[in-house]
Amino acid sequence: MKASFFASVPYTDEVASRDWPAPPMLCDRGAGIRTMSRAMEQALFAEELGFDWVSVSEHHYSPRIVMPSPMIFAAALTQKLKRARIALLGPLLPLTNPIRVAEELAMLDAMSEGRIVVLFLRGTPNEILTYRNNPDESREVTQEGVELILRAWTEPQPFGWEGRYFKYRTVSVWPRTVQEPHPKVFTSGNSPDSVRFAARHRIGLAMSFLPLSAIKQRVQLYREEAAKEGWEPTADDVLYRFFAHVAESDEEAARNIGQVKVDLRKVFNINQNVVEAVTGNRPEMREIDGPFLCGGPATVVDQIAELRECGVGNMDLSFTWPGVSHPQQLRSMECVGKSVLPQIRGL
Amino acid sequence: MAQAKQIDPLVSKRTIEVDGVGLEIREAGKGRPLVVLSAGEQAQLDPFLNGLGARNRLFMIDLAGAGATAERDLARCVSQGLARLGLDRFSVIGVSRGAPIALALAIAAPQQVDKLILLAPPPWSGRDEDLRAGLPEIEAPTLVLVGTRDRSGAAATARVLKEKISACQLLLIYDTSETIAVDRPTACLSPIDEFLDRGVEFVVCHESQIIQH
Repeated sequence: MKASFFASVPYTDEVASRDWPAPPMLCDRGAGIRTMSRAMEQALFAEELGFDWVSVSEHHYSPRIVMPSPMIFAAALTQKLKRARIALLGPLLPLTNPIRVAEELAMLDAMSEGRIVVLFLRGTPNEILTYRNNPDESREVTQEGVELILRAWTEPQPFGWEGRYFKYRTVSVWPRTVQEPHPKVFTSGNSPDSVRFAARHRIGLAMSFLPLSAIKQRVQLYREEAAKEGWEPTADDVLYRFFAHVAESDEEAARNIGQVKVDLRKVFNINQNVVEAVTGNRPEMREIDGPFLCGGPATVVDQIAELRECGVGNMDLSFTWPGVSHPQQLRSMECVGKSVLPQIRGL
Repeated sequence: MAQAKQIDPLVSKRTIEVDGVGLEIREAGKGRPLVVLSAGEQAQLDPFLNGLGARNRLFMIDLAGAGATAERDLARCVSQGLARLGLDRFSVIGVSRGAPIALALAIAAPQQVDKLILLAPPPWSGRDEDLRAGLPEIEAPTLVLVGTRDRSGAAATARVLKEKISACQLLLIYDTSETIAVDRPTACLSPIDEFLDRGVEFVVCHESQIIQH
């Protein structure tokens, strides 16, 4: 089992608004510096603790995760991290020019000497609003974008692309990626259709915040679909992102996380009618009453073993949780690094 | 896709015999002379051909019946047959197994071939050695279309063409198999049209990017 530290880059100061988009006037200019430097320190700490990857995501217009450009933060990480892989989980393809994404990732792969991992995503409802993309087309756009990027990384001759959503007459990406044929690629496995897409294109499967039973089903489907395509995924092809809080004991972990319930529908902080208009339906209530991994080291190692049983070989850990302070997050990371990671290496 | 309109009433059909080879030539459409070489696929290509016929005078030659005639010989027959129709300058589209003949024609009759377009060119076979050797001689601006779901080996052929022909553009048609023009006829027609109009300069975008005046 490999462990990834999710550098979620939360804004360091208190913000009076929970709305999306959050008004820029609420962002203290100095806090922008503190936010970025604290995130970098935390990423370095994760590497020191033995995490295999440091990951970044793409989110816009909000203090919750201050990371509009994962490429920029990843570029800084390539110069600071000496060993850990740098996982971009991930660029939102409907919001970008996929050729530019292919070029920037190739640069990052060279700058990191071949340590880039990437997950291409569609974006959450608020991200789709950011640059005015049509949510009805975001899945198709993302799938075409993934194929285009894979082609741009592997096609030895300059080419043009006549797509449904993208059209180019001249594509010829320099530098080539250091990793051959290209960096490890994941796509979302949160819906059955996207699981089939990943299997068909022989790329990794990434899930987030799903219950264990759903992970098991998705991985099973992924294996079945991959078999039809004539290949067999391993645990290395499966990535799962979730919340984690680890303390010295189960009791201490329970005290730290408190009695908070998190409704995953509401993490976007946007008007429910807008969410409905974006997603096309009223999302199901998905309330969780604690991080997926929660407890002292022994409990957590058992939980990770269960995850491994489901076929997951890479776990991306977010240490944020309402009410858990930054120092508590650092202690939680430390518990994982010192007492959990050594025990899960062989899983 | 809706049933395509027949290319009739403009269509006419004649057979020309050159060196013992009978070439059946169907004509349709209005505009620039454009020779379509295929080998047995034309029935499925109606929506594509219909689109091409809107701006081109098509001379469609199905070479499926030509049997084992060498490409070089077949190309010479086609060149002479078309000359007999008074065509001294035209562009050529080679569809799938028509592509090697189109290449042979561009090598054998450079004075006749204005622009060359190949759709899903098949993998090289042993008998294509002459053809491969002649590729650097091709002067006609060339456009090669390959489907992103094509598993026939067309992409590998296209790469060789791109490398050896001096003015060659490779265009991947997303979400199509080896039957590109059947899968997404419009996605093929639009770049072909631009290429016929502008040759290699079709890489320049002149579509307005203004959202609102």
